Amino acid sequence: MGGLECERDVDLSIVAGTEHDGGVPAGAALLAFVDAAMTCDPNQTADVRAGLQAKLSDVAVVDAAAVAAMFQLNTRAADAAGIAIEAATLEGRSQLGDRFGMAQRADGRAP
Amino acid sequence: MLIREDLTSAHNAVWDSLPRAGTWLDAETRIALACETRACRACALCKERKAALSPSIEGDHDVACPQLPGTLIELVHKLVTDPGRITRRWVDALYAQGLPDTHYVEAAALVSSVLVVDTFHAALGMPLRALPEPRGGIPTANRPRTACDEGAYVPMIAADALVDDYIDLYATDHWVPNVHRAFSLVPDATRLADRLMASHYLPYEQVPNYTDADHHRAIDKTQMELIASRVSVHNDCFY
Repeated sequence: MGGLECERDVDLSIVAGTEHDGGVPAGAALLAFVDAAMTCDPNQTADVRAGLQAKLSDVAVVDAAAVAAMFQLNTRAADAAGIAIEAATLEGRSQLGDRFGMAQRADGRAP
Repeated sequence: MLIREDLTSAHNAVWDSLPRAGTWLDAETRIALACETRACRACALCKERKAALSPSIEGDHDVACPQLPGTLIELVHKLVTDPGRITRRWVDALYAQGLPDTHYVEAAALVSSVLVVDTFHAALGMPLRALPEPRGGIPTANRPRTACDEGAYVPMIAADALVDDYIDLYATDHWVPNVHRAFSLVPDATRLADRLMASHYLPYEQVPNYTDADHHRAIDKTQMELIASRVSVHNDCFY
């Protein structure tokens, strides 16, 4: 998530929610913005876009829209092609699992 | 709201490519695919499959462009509405019904590119671009001779197998992520994805190790990665 590079603690659980920012500037507003953008309906984004604009600059809103749009392709490229996850990525994910103590949990499941 | 020129230019490149014959698909098919990409969100069968524990529900799609072959209709609907449950068995079934792997890749890349442009416009409240009229042309039908089976659903070009007119397809002085190679069976599709990637996010080869010192975006790395992760959640992508 880039928290190390930004020297900031980030709550990874916010990826699945919109309750709070989780240490990411305007995190909740960004998530709501993405959720609306995924509809591909320009009529469904006005409120959340205004909410994001209240927290970030217009340029930042455009950049946020661009990243969200791009991952519509990247996710589908990966799943349509059935590409393998690279060894380096797997290793990083395993290390993250180790930090969360996943191996010590019953069936490896999060509580 | 001011839109960066590189973004508009990349969108123009997608829209300029749509009505022209591609590497394998003719102009009419490409425009029909773009049309179906937009229409399939209203498909009742897709909604039923998406909501089901198992997506293997039989039925007929609500189709906007019936001139498309059934294999391409199934591809578009699945890729748009339930991409996270694409499986090797499903892809192989399309191949068995006569859809060549080359056509599969070109169609998947086209649908994905249209979604990039449409999502961007929708996010900023801009009307979706009108689809152009087909302009004809003949597909080049040029299959890269070094594309090979690496165990993915489609053949791909390895980073050390660049030759001929695709010798510059990747920046091989960096590590090349698999997602960059996903559509490489159709090199022009990869080139278009490169252009979208560089303008919307970062060049593929820069992604694994970038810091905020490496870009000029108005949002930082935590924000970009949060956005990317949320889109991945929406699309059930675990790559």
